[in-house]
Amino acid sequence: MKKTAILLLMIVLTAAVSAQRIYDLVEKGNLNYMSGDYELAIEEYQAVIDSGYESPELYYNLGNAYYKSNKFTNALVNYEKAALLAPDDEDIQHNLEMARQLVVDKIEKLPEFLPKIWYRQFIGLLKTDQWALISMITFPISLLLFLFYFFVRRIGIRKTAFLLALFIMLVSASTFIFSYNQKKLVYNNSYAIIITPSVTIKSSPDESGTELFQLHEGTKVEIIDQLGDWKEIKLSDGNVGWLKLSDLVRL
Amino acid sequence: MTAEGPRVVEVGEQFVVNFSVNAKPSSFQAPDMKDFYVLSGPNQSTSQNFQIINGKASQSITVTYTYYLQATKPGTFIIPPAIVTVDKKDYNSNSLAIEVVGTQKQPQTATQGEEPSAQQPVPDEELFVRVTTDKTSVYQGEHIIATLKIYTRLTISGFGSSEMPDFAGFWTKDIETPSQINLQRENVGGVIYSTGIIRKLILFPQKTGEITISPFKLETYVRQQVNTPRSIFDDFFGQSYKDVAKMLESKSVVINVKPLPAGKPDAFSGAVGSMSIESEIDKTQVATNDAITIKIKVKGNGNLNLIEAPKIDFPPDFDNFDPKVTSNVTNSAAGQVGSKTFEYLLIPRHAGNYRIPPVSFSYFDLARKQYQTLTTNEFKISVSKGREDESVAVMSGMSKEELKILGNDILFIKPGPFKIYPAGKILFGTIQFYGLYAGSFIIFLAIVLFRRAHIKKIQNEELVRNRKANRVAKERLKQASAHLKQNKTEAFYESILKALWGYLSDKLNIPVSELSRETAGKNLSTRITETVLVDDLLSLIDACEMARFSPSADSQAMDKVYADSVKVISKLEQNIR
Repeated sequence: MKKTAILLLMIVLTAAVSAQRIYDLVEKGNLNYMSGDYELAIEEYQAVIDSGYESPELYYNLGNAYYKSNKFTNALVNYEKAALLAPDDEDIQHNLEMARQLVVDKIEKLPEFLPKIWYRQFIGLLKTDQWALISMITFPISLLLFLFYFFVRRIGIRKTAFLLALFIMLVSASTFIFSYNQKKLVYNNSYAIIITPSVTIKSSPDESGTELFQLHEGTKVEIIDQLGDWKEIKLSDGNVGWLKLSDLVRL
Repeated sequence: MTAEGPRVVEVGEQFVVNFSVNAKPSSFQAPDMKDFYVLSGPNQSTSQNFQIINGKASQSITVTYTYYLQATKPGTFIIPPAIVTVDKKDYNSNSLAIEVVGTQKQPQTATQGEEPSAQQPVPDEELFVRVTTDKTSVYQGEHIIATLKIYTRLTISGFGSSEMPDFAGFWTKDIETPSQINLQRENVGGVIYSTGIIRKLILFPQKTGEITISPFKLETYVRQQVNTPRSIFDDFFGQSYKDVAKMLESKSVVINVKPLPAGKPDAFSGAVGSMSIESEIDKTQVATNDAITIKIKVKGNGNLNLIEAPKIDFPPDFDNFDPKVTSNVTNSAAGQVGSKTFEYLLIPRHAGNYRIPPVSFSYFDLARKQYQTLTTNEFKISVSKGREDESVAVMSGMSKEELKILGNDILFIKPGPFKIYPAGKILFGTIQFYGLYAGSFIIFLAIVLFRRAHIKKIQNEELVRNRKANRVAKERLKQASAHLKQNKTEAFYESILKALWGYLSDKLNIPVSELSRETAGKNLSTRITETVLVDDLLSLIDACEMARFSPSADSQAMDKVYADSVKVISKLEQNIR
């Protein structure tokens, strides 16, 4: 009993210590960035991410450090990650645009269905966890109201309880879907950035495939299929082709 | 005080060493010359010079002490400084290094008894030209000193046409040399030559790679003794000479120019050497439309001539002009030494406090083999409104200026502290997440089912009681009739009330303890259409309650109550739903 208590205490303490260490590392990275030691700042931010932590601000700062040391593609990747986690942050959007301007390939975007954009913007208002929490809280409330409906004799109470229960059940179901979509968008998305300075896109997943077109680093693509080392990608203008896994980094 | 002597002599050769003083010394202390055999000396000679120019008289005096020495053994020997005392002060001369080489064969031209020929060819080793450079491997922009030198053991009577090497790939600058060629003795591979510097240049390579300096060509006339035909005149006038022309050509020289290492700073524009920078401003408090001058001065040793004007980001409200460049550079064997000044003229147009940012200047330091970046101080200028400013202000009021975008850069980092959380820990899809839904639904279902079962059970009980109600009431009425027969008034009414309340309780499904006149009437009226019946029942109950505690025992009234009770219960049994 005593042993387990000590063990538990130790776990809690190490967790607290490592969290403190993480914040210290970020602080050190920030100081190095301010004094212009961008390479050191990159190392420290990256160490935090490598130890399994993340935050939009962290990706944003790392992107800045990469940008300042002229590694624009790495900067772009981190800005994209930051923007996925915090789509409404204006600083992130500004710097992302700055980095995107340096991308060589200019690809016409296919026009997107407007309600789809609205929907994405709407579910972007809250994080997936926040949506999930709302859904988790509203679901039992809705069930409770149904119980009222079932077991209360008074007609008026029964009526309001039923309508309210239906409404809250609807809220719970829709936030459930929002949470799912937001999670898919942020964590299980199929987007990737090309990191090889120049890569030839093939028509089939092998070296002898017909060369379709040329892409340059920084271009954002969507992965739609894979076969061994090869990934089939789709550009925002609808073009499709195959390239090696090593030419990409996933968002 | 100076000491002069030849640099190279042969063993056994006699030579002269002079010590000259430009004043009249009170004493002369000769240096130790034990390495040489002193043939004679010191021989003192004095030369005096007296001048009157425009009524001003100037006098100069030179006292020379001459030694005739003979070299006795090969090696390099140093004659230490001589000391003279002038006006009770001691002055040292420079020391002399003299190289003594072993005996060598005499130049062939002077050899007597050899088969004379009219056109004796001049051997190459007797007379040649060389292009020497002080370095053969340099960085781009690093200076090289190239020397064109003639080496001779013959008598040169003059020079003809010459072809200078084209220093393609270099930026060249002449180093001043005496126009008359001073021959000096030099030991080349154990042979003493008279050498003369024809030209000295400073070269700055402008491209990388191997650059070849093309040969230097010089036509030289050599005086040769002519032996035949001998005539009486020749003997009389001494030996006759003939000038022989020879085309001399140096070997080409290859210079390996290395590119500057990577990692050039932004402010680097090609300066190589060792330099320093200073800046000055003539005033920091001015009125509008007054000129300010900023001077940036680059000093040092290197390719100063090639330095471009450093770019200064002047505030946009200042009118500025192309800088005036003045350079004060001397080319010498040490390289290009001096300074280059850039003068910027600024005219502030609006009042305010401005800052002239520091100017960065980068150069490649040859000694340290790395880039150095120098930065000048920044200047703060406060501009006050000048008198003419009023008209300008009116003008500027009429034409508003657009916001000037000076640069475009990413926004600054978020300094924090901000929230950092473990990556990939998402609520959605976890067991806890689904568990909550499943759990709450199971609880919901359980409650519903349990309640349903419970209600069913209760309803069953009610039904049973409902069905039994009539029978129970009849039994109680039977009891009441028994009490009636025995004429027990109190017990009779008690039984009647029990029967009535019990019936109501069973039918209305309300416990007897909770029943009252009001609750019973209210509940009953919802379940019965004939309201008269309710009133009948209530008045019957009232009558019973009243009679129960009245002392008089009226058997007739009791009979009526009994009959009414039976009637009401049977009617209720028919009408109640």
